[in-house]
Amino acid sequence: MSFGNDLPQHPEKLKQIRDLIRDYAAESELVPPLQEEEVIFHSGELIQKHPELFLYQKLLAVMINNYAWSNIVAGIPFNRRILLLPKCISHSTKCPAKYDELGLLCEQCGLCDLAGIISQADELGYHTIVSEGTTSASLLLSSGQVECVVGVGCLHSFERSFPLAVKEAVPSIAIPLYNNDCKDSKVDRIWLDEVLAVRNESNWKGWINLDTLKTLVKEWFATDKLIALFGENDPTIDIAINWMEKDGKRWRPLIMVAVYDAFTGKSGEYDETIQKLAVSIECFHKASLVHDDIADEDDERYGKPTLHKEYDVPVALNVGDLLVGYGYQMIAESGAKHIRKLLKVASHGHRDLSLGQGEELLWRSNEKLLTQEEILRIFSNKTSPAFEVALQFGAILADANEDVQQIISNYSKALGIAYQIKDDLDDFRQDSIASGFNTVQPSLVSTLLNKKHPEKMQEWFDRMQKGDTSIATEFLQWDETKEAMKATEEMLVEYKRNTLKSLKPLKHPTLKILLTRLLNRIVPES
Amino acid sequence: MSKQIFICGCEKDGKIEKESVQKLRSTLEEKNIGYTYIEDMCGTILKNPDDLESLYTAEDAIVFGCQARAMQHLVDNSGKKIEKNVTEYHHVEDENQEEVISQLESNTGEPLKIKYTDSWKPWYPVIDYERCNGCRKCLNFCLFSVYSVEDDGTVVVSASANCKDMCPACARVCPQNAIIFPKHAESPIDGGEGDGTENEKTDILEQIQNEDVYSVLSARRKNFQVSLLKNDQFKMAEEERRACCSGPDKKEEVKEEEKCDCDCNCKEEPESKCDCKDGDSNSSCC
Ligand code: SF4
Ligand code: SF4
Repeated sequence: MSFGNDLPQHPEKLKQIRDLIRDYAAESELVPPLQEEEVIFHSGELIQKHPELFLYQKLLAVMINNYAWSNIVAGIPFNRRILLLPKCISHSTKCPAKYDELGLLCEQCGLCDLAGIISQADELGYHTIVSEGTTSASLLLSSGQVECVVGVGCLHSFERSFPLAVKEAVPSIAIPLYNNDCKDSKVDRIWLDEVLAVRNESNWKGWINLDTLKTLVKEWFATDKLIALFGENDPTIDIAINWMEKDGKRWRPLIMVAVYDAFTGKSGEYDETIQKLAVSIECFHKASLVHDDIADEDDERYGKPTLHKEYDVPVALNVGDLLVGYGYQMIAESGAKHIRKLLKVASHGHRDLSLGQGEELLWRSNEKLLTQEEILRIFSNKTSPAFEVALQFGAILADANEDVQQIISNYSKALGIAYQIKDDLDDFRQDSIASGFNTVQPSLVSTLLNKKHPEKMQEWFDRMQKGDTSIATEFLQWDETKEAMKATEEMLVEYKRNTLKSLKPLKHPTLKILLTRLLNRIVPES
Repeated sequence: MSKQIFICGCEKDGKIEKESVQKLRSTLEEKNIGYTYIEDMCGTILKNPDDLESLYTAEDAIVFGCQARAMQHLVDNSGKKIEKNVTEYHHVEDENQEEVISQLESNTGEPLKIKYTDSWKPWYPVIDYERCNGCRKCLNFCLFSVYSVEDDGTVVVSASANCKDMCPACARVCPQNAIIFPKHAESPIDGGEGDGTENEKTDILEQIQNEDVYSVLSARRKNFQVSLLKNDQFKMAEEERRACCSGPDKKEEVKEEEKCDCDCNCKEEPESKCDCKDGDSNSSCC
């Protein structure tokens, strides 16, 4: 058995360690979800205090994470919890059970402990899966739908599922098996029983179902709703409404409402104030898109002609301005308690966005390659404000304090950069790069390429200048380009990590969980 | 050249009956037919492959052991077998055993033995490449990196010894039922043909990703309980039937009565144009 992989073989010893950790956890105020580094840090601290525990390094990590979650899990109703048991508890030769792809279907023959555990869990209302290996666990954890998992398994399997659980911020408690050899395994029943039955009032505000929320938010952008807000019988307003309706992802309004829910726990009912603010955020976003398309000379958006192609540039410019006006009007007329705060956030966002855009536009005309720092700054300025406005609106509506606002601001900065890096990478993952990317659009990949292989960048540039179109495809196949993409991917990982790090001081678990999940949705793994 | 005979005893925590192996060995010895006894082929192939030289190079061979499909792929996957080698594989309890043996030449030498002394229980997957479609589900699934992929995309078992004793999970994940664990207790995971009910591929994994997880799980639980109940009822019905027809003779009688008295073939093989179907004979005959 490898170092740190041990598990004491007696319930009493296990209990003793659990108590130690309980005391430690109480002192250090662990707010879930903890990132891997944090868990490792805490187990290191514990080992310093109790050197004899060094054998159980991994177990400690598991237990610390459990304690971070325990209060939240206690607040989750039994019927929203999933119990994951490993197949290896079953009788290795005589188990009569059949399987489906999710796992073993226990026939309650009583030859192993599963029968007892399952009936107990059934009685409480758990959903139980007896899985072979980790497929079902991984699927569940990454579905983004699971509200809580109590998992029994070997330390090996936890190592694999831990990152998934962290990524989706799934409230979870893991109980290790006594043995690691996949056969006739045993679990500490005292421990398991204790965990299974835990149910308390807690500071958990409820799981936020982003999918249902999304459907709900979409309704606020139906034509009649928009007409009610904007008025009608005016051709310019008609164009604006039409533009607002196109592409209904509604990310930003969704973010705002989700943050609001994380604080208030009141999922489902939203008054006019909230709806107007949601629309105002979308107005700002849609206005910036119209203007962007003009600046970038893009002909299509959402697979349809851009506004300035459908009409003309002056009309499009004007509709963009109209939407900005509506945005501020919606805030002013929202009836929200903190209108002044909201206006400040919105106008600062607006300003920062324009400054970021400005830096890019001015750079474009002088055809000089940007440095890495400049690019990251542009990335951040261009994207972070829109996220920040949405997040801050939700927080302000729910009377969040300054500290939270500061955390949200840091989170948005890192998030915006991660988002743009991903976008940049996605451009390089196409079959060809259409526009001369590093003259029209700042790209981290090409900057990194230029840093290491300036001659390649020069070659690309020369050929493009001569009107050589095949370079757009060829360029993507160069090893040097792939190398730069790899380096960019690493930076993406780093910025995603930074985004999560910014949440470290957050004391509010529901919000911390939500923001962790949002990162994953906004900047998904590719 | 005469056929070379091999018998695998599956000794290392094996799954085949020792008695059947012993019986086969005695039969061969009585008939004075030479054979090579392999204590554990799974183990020897992996740990001391050179010991199996005679099997790999035999031009014409018969191997008795566990499931034919398991042994065949076990040997094929070693990549050591010479091309022109024709090898037949039979289960030690194969019904045709007598027939097979009756065709063997006698006086072909003394029995030989290939030992397996390692303490490691050879438990690892064997891929049936006639079935595998290279989807890599097993590779992604295995926690212990037993599988890997070659440059040409073939999925291979590259770290057999990493495989966890008694864990056949990847075999269940495989949509092609292409993974064999020769020492597993159930068919088709052991290389047998299965009874057709195993590994029923439902779309539950997809449902979990696209629908509400909780409702999918509740429905699964309900379905299962219903099927258990049905099972119970079925068992009860069977017992009742057994109780009311006392003894096997009576059952036979019942069957006899149902058969009609025509002399067409359809009693044994269904025929489409049998006239006893429309006559006043008992139609159940067809
Ligand atoms: S109790 Fe369930 S899992 Fe355990 S051996 Fe029996 S049927 Fe299999
Ligand atoms: S899961 Fe089955 S079909 Fe897919 S690669 Fe593995 S052995 Fe082949």
